[in-house]
Amino acid sequence: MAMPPVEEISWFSAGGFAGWPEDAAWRTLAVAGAIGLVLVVVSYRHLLVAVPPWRRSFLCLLRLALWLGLLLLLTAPTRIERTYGRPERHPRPLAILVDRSDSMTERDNRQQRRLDDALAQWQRVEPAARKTFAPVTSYAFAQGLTPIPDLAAPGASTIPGDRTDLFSSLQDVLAHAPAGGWGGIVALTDGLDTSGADLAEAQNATARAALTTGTPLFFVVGRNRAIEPAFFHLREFNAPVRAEPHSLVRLDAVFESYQTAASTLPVQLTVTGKTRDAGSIRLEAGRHLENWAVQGAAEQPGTLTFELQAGAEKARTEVKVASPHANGILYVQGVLDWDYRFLADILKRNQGFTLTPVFAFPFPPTARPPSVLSELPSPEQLSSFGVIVLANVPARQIPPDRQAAISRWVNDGGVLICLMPNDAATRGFSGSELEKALPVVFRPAGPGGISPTPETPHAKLTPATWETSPRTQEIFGANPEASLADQAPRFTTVAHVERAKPGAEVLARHPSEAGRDGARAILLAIQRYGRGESAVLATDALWRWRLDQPSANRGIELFWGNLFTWLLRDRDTEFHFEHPPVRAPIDQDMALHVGGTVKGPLRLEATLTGQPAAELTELPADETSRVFRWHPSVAGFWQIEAKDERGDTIHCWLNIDPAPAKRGELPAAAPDEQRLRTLAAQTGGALLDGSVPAAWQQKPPPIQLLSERRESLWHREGIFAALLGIYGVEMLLRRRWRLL
Amino acid sequence: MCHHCLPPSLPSTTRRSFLKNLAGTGAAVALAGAMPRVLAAAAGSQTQPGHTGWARLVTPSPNWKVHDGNDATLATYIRNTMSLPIDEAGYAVKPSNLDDLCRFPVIFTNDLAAVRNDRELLNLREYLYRGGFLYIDACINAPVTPSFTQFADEHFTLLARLLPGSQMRRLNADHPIFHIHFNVDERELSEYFNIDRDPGIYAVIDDDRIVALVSLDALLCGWPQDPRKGGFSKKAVANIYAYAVAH
Repeated sequence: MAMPPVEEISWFSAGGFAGWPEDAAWRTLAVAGAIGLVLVVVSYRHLLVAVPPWRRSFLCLLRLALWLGLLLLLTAPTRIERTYGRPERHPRPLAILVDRSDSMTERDNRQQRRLDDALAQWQRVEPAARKTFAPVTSYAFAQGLTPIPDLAAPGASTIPGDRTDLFSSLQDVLAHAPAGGWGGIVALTDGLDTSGADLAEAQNATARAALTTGTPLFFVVGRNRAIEPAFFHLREFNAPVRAEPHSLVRLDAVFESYQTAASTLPVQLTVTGKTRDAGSIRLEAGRHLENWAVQGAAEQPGTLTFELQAGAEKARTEVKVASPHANGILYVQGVLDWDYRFLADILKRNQGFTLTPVFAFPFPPTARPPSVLSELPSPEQLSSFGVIVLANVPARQIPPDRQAAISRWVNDGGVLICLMPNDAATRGFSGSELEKALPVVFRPAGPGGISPTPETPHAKLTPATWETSPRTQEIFGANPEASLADQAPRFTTVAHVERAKPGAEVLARHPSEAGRDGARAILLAIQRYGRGESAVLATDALWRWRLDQPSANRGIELFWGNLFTWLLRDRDTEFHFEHPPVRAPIDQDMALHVGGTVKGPLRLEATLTGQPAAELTELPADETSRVFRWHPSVAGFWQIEAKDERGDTIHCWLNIDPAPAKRGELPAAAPDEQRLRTLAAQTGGALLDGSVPAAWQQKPPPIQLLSERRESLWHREGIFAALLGIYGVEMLLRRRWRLL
Repeated sequence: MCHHCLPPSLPSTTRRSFLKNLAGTGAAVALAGAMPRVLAAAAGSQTQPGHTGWARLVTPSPNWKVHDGNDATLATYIRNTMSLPIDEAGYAVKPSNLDDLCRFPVIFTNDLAAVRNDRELLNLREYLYRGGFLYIDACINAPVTPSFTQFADEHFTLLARLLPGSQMRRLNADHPIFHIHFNVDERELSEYFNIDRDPGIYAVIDDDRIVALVSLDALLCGWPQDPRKGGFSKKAVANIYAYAVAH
């Protein structure tokens, strides 16, 4: 909504004093005015003919008026009419999903259902939701999804089936969003998906779908007194597909447990036959997820096998130790500066990367180095690069259709890094296609928006402050050659962004300057976008940092190497098992995915000591991987071997549970709050525990500059005519009074 | 009536000359009024503020500042013709202060061999190892560069000692540095001055890239004598700057 226009007069916005500090310009003009006054008085003090004092004074005044008029012209007065207003807020629709499965509708000893608890919690935040979102559409789900008129509709409890399709229902609602997408999705559930799908994979697929459409997920967890027997099992065991020689390999495991009393369990790690003590984990009372991580050294090229044992739980994985493939980095230099020269030098000895620069510089074809491009490659050619670095590229240099192509490329698995050394570099990104793929929201132009800070070569470098997050440690903390402090980017200027997006991770901040979100200004943020990653480095921490750092110090090299390596961690072209499960139920079909570049036949075989080997059946491939079906009929610790036509092999191991797998409804299982909390955080949502989330607080949108009109007041013909007239009158009077 | 009694002679101005003066003054006022508009238009076409510039090395030579006025002229030329955001202010740095050296990606000097202090030479080596770029240019004025042969020999020896393992290579006419933005031909130089050694630009290559240039083309001098030399020199220096940025 537009507000009445505001008028103001601007001085020195053009002409010879443009760019001067206003005080200095006024002082200069004041001095010039004073000098002119003195000269005028002196020039009329001694005349060759006698002139009455009043005539002398009048001539002085005329000359002075002319002089002051000329000085006034130099102030370049400009009338500025600005119109401000608040952009109209258009509420987005909200979807509410109610879990009507058995576990939600089973009554406990108080006749209390989890559904009742979830509905009671929802009613406390519903008024705020209805103020923020419109319209609100309700669905019920159990085995399948169906729209319902309202949450308490009695007919909705008749949804058929004996299982809960939590994740597929969420994905279904996301896929059928109205035009413009959902403003959010709220699910009233206990988080128990009993469809038989791989829960970690289903969770990640749901998070990806939500992030791609920019939809935060909120959960209201239904609880009651239903209890389940104590259990402990390994839910995930992750290791990188490959590692460089002489590097550290990080292993992550997630244990899930429900205990009636706290206990401690020893953990043992075996690395290619050598056993080592790996500490213990503490199992607290109640239902919990425990994260566990350890690092192992990868020395010589070959294959390392890691086996983890905790209680009766066992998992095994293998890591290939080999030099990395060269990943193509497309380095697009916008405003020309020295960053490319220094980044090329930094990455020169890192065989994992090859740089292809793009300069908007008008190289004649004869002088362009062979690897240099003069324009951004076509969308089809982008797939040959793993990373695109946009270095100080103004948004206007990339047309919207190219921005959309880059955004899609990231969504399909690319890595985009934006280097923005100052506020000018962020101009035009607010609301752009590229902004959708980036981890931060940019400031719009207008009052309080972008205001470029001039740079000087003598500016002092300031080290960024790392966020104390596991991710920072994961990316930059595992290198013995340089500490985190050594790798902290040093900068002189900052590009101020509005805030980090939901789901983004801020890795480094300004040590003192506050950002718009109340925390310190964001300097480095990353985010998963679709199947790719994006990052924004909002400082000039490249060539200045490199020149400021002793040549023997490797901090900046490790910073860039670690950042690129981590962002590209999933882009491995060798064939590998994609997130193989740790366990699988007996007597049920399961699918194993093999990713990477596999051409030609691929043979998968499952083996267990004392059992005949079983060959897996290949199914039609999906978008990114080859898919194999297996129907395990014997419990045990199975090894799956995949062999390609060259004879290269990879392995994964699965626990096939002897007990009937968890399938069908789990009325006695505790709500899976941890998974719901993680999923909500991944998408920028939250668990609703009766309090209204910050994102729903109705704040008026900030006032923005809608239009600006400038009218120069200093080059009108009338002003020049007046000055000429004054001078003419003076000349005529001097002539008349015989001074000429 | 004596001459003391005569009235002072009046200024004699004819009507024609008065009107002429008035018209001239009016035109001047109109021009002054229009000037801010012209300046404003020029300001609107400027590139964004400079990110950095180059600095001139302060050496023990009394001639280190010779032609320093050309620095700003060159920077303006590069800025305007190539849209490179280069700072037009002139800076000077002392080799004794490593921090100051490292604030500029390019440093110019007309006599690096004048630096003999070991600490200062170590600073210059460290500057180059960190990624800095040195441009060393001989001067056509005999007081500054008495002998081009001696200039070349001294600098080749000094740089070989300063950067062990580096190579010195003369850049051929087809090297990108002569064509990256402007096509320049060193053969044009022969008509401008007569020296005891052929002109040419020599590259110091360390760790597979050019870290310094030793120029016998005297690109920063000889302008007042022949504007054509200035035109050639500005193009050649602009090429050097662009090459260093992009490689």
